[in-house]
Amino acid sequence: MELLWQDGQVVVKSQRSPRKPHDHSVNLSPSVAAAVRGGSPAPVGDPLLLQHHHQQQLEDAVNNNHLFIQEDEMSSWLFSDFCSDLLLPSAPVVTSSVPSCPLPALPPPKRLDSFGHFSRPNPLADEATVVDSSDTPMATRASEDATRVGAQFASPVVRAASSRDQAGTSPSSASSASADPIPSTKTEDVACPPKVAEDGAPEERKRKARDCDWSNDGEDVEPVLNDDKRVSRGSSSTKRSRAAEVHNQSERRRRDRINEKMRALQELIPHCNKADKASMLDEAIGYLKSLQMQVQMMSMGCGMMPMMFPGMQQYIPHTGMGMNRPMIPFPNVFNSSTLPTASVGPHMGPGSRFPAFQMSPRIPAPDPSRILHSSQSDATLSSSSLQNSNLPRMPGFMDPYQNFFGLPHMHFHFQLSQASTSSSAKPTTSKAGETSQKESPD
Amino acid sequence: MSSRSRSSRHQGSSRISDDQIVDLISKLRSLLPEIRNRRRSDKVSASKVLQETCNYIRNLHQEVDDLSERLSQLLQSIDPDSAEASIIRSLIM
Repeated sequence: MELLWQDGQVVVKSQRSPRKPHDHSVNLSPSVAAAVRGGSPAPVGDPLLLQHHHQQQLEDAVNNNHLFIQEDEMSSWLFSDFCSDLLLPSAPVVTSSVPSCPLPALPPPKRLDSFGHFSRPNPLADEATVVDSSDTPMATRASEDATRVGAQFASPVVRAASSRDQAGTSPSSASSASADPIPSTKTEDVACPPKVAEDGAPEERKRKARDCDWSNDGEDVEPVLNDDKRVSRGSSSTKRSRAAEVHNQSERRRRDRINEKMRALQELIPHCNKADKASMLDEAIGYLKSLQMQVQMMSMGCGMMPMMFPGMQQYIPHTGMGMNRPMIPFPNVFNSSTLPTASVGPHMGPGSRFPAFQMSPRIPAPDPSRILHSSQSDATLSSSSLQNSNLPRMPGFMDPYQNFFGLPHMHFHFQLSQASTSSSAKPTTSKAGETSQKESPD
Repeated sequence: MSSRSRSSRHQGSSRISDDQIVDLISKLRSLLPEIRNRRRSDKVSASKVLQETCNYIRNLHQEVDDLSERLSQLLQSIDPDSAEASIIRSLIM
């Protein structure tokens, strides 16, 4: 159940139809219904009944059908009544609001009229511009803004009036009868505007999160207001301002495109809960790199697979295949796993030299002939081929991205870091951590 | 960072500076193979970069899936207890 701005008036949006007054009482959500019914004593006017209404909602709904219609209209008119009172600067707001407000029995079309005040251009500029923005394409946002604005307008007046009217609750006379539904609804309707505000606020926040523009976070509102001021005045629509408007609109469209792409990107990146653009782009960059790495490794694994049997060990160099720095052939891993750890020590030094690779996203396919060639050039290594435990293992630098891939069992470690700190700048820290680990699982 | 954004108040109340974003976009662009190789790469718009990034990520996802498929097939062909199998299993995510 929402109080929504629809076609220039506030309607109570219920499940079936927002317009049928008969259905309102039935379709009211319990909270709003209680709020409305709680303030319904007009002809009944008994303070005790107020409490009763809270308890016997359905019975009251049936019995006081006409009342609830009035209450509904009243609650939805509340905005219009008080807003129109506010908007008309001549009328004193507080004292005359009660007697001058329309009687409860007004037909629905009256709502339109009272909201005509709301939507017409008005001497009170700031309210009008916010309201008038419903004419622009930003209709939905403006409508929500308007309802919230209306709520803001209504609630202070409501609070002031309710505090004033707490004394007078005896409703016998006609004038006070007309007055009383209002104060009592007012006290209850304090609950409504916050609800409306709550409905609007999360959406507003969502909208703000969505519309985090590249550079103009707040500017979306300003051009709209400026445009409306210009339109409403109608005088200063020079060529320059029109060009500026066009520029603003194209800029807005461009921003919308970018935001849309950002959203799409955010969905692709796993576990991306960042709201601001820069950190999201950071994560995107990191994720992209790790994805590329992963594809490399897997393709290398697929390529190396046919070669992975013990006889071929010696041909598989650890000095790499012209790939990224962390790339090591897989056989080294299982070599190290089967070999005793004692052999790790003596071979750490000479065996773990690793040429510095550039980060090249495009990995050439593993080439057996190239592997053979490069392995023969490194005689010392091939001689100790069986004791390749010192050979660098799979990239430890993958660990930062394991939260992307969910690889808890990825125990490829780099032994590189002990000897050659120069070859790898980035992964050293993670490798240093890994080397201490490598002793234990092996 | 905040001082930079405060100085750019004229551009709008952005907490994140434009330069930062341009910087990140250029980094992203350097990773993308298609745009990187294209000439006049300084004129690539942000939305294009983002679009290419999304496409690239989708492609990489596809490749990862394909490779996983292949690796799992290879896994079936070898002895499951071997060390090779463990390697392959660790590759497949």
